[in-house]
Amino acid sequence: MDPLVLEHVYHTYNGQPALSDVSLRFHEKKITAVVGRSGSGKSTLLQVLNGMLRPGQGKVFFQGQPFDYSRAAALRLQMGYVIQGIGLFPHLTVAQNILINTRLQRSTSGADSLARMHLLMQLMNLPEAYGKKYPHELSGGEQQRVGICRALLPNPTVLLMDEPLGALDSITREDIQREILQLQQSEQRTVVIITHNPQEALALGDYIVVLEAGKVLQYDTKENVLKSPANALVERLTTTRSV
Amino acid sequence: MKKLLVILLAISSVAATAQKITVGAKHFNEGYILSEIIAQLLEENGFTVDRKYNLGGTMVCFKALKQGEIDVYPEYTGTISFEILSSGKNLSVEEIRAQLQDMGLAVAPPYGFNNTYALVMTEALSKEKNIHNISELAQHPQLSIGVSYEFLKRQDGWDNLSKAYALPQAAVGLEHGLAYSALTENKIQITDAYSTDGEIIQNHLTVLEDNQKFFPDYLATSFYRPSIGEKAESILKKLTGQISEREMQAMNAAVLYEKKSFQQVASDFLREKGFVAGATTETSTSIVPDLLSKTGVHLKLTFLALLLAIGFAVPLGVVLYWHPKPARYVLYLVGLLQTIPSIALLAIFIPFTGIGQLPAVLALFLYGLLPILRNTYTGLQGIDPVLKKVAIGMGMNRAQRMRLLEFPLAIPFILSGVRTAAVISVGTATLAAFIGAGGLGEYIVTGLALNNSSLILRGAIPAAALAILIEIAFEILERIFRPAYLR
Repeated sequence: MDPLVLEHVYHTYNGQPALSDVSLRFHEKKITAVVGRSGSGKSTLLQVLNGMLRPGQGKVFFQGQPFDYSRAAALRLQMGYVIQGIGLFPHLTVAQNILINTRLQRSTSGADSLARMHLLMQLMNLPEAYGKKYPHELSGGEQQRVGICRALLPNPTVLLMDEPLGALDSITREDIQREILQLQQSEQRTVVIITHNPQEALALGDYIVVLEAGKVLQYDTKENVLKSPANALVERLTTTRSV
Repeated sequence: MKKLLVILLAISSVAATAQKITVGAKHFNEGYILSEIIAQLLEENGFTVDRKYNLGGTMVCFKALKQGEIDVYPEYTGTISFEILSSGKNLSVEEIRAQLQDMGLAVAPPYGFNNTYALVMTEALSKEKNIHNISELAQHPQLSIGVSYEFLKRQDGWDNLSKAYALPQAAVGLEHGLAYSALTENKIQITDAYSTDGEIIQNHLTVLEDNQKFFPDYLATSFYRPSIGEKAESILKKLTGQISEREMQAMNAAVLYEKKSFQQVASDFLREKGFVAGATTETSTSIVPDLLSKTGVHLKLTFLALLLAIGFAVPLGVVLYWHPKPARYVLYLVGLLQTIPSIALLAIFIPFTGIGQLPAVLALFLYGLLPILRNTYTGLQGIDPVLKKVAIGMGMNRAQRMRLLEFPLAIPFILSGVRTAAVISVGTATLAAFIGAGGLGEYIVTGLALNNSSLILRGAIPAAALAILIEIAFEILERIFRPAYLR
């Protein structure tokens, strides 16, 4: 069952169409990279997926059920969320940041969470001693690694990432891309990653969605998108990797 | 049955001997002396007296009397006519008594002296020029006249006075505090004064007779609630015609220049007049216990108000943050409270709460609201929107966001608001003495009334020290609560 499904979603933003007749099924345990220029509607798409935006028209399904906006906060607990600004809580240590989810749900056990935190930090190449540090003491790349650990702590079925590596230098970006792929191998989940960078989309995505002016230009496996781009624009987008 | 009767009699006799009368006072020298005379006279006659002095102006005293917060205080017939009954003219004692009856209040026959405006000159000059009343000034156009600015402007002041008496001189305005030295140095020859000012005796001045009865009568008398009972009323009437202007001047001067306490001056007067028998019993006590107890009251008022303000403003700030639409109006309204002069705010509650600590705490509470509310609100609003977005995105509900993210980040702002409120509160609490709340302000208010700067300093220095201590305490508190990421 595909955990995230959009059917004929339309959304306007201040009168401007941001999404127009978008229908997408995000496949289970696959990484789908949504690529497009600024203003193509990528961020709107992600916010529709986690229920922060309720689309003007169309249907959103989460785990087979129509998204229940009255329980939005509870549903989001099952979706990891990572954004470009990272948004680590400055008054909490790294460990407290990663473990924040345990303070939102009573069911989680402390010992399990600690073990999971250490596992995630290891996978993201974060030294254990960082747990006691405060976010401002870390570099941008380290901070985003912490952000990813935080999102994955409750082992969510879905991980939503909005330009997670957008503000990082290219070397750090590639390191983290590799770590994300390693993570995906050790614990497979449905990942939606928004990026303006085609290189990143091709590096991470099993599937690629090309978004332009709120419309889906192409949605296919990475291989098919590379082999037969839907039009010149997609081709231009996907061939920039050689630059 | 007999037993019961005996018990009832016993109870009623106890009740009779323990009848308590609350005496108020206007906060100036003469007010204190007259109130103390009333209080001691009542005590001498078996009543228990509760003194509520330092009661600010006429309206505070009057409201307190009307509410039954106090039972009696000395007032002037002119003040009752103009300010309390707003009659627009000077009423006789009988007219006043008739009008007050509807309010359930009464006045005793006047004490005898008239504390009204007067023109004064030095005794020496008065003898030299043979001037004894105001009419005679007309024959001495060369005399220069300097009067207080208030007297220059008042309805019953210089303009109408000089017309009524057809005086040729022009008056200049000057600060009242300077008038007496200007007079003794012969820079001016005539000035205005209150007819019972202690300065008149001290500076050897002569009050010129108001031979055309221009000035309204300000006859001092006991203003009281008839509910005090006939016995107490008859005691108040003992003072009828007992105090002359000269005697009142002398008593005022005794406090101002001989630095006698007004208790002492009052008991000397009562002994002299034969109302009280026995020898002088001056008791001098160390000021330390009194200072400590007043400081205690001061801190109690301040912190009670502060706690209330925190308990109200912080949750309100959170609610406004959640519902920002009315926030502007609420902040505006609370800001408006801040613009009400402290003494007015202190007085506003008297009709509802009476005088004492309750209205003082309420007023201080209202003053503390704005800084705490504004800092809570802006502190919450100023939080990085990225953090809020992440918090929503990870599935935090509103309460969780507040508890785990927004409130902790706003704490430094809230604390600095509380700090501002605490300092304002400590300062304003000195004014609470005007409505009988006690505290360090009692020294200041009494000192102001008695023109006794050492008494003013006795209140002002500890109050300033408290403000500094609070600043330091908050600095330490802020350091402790300063989040790790800001260190």
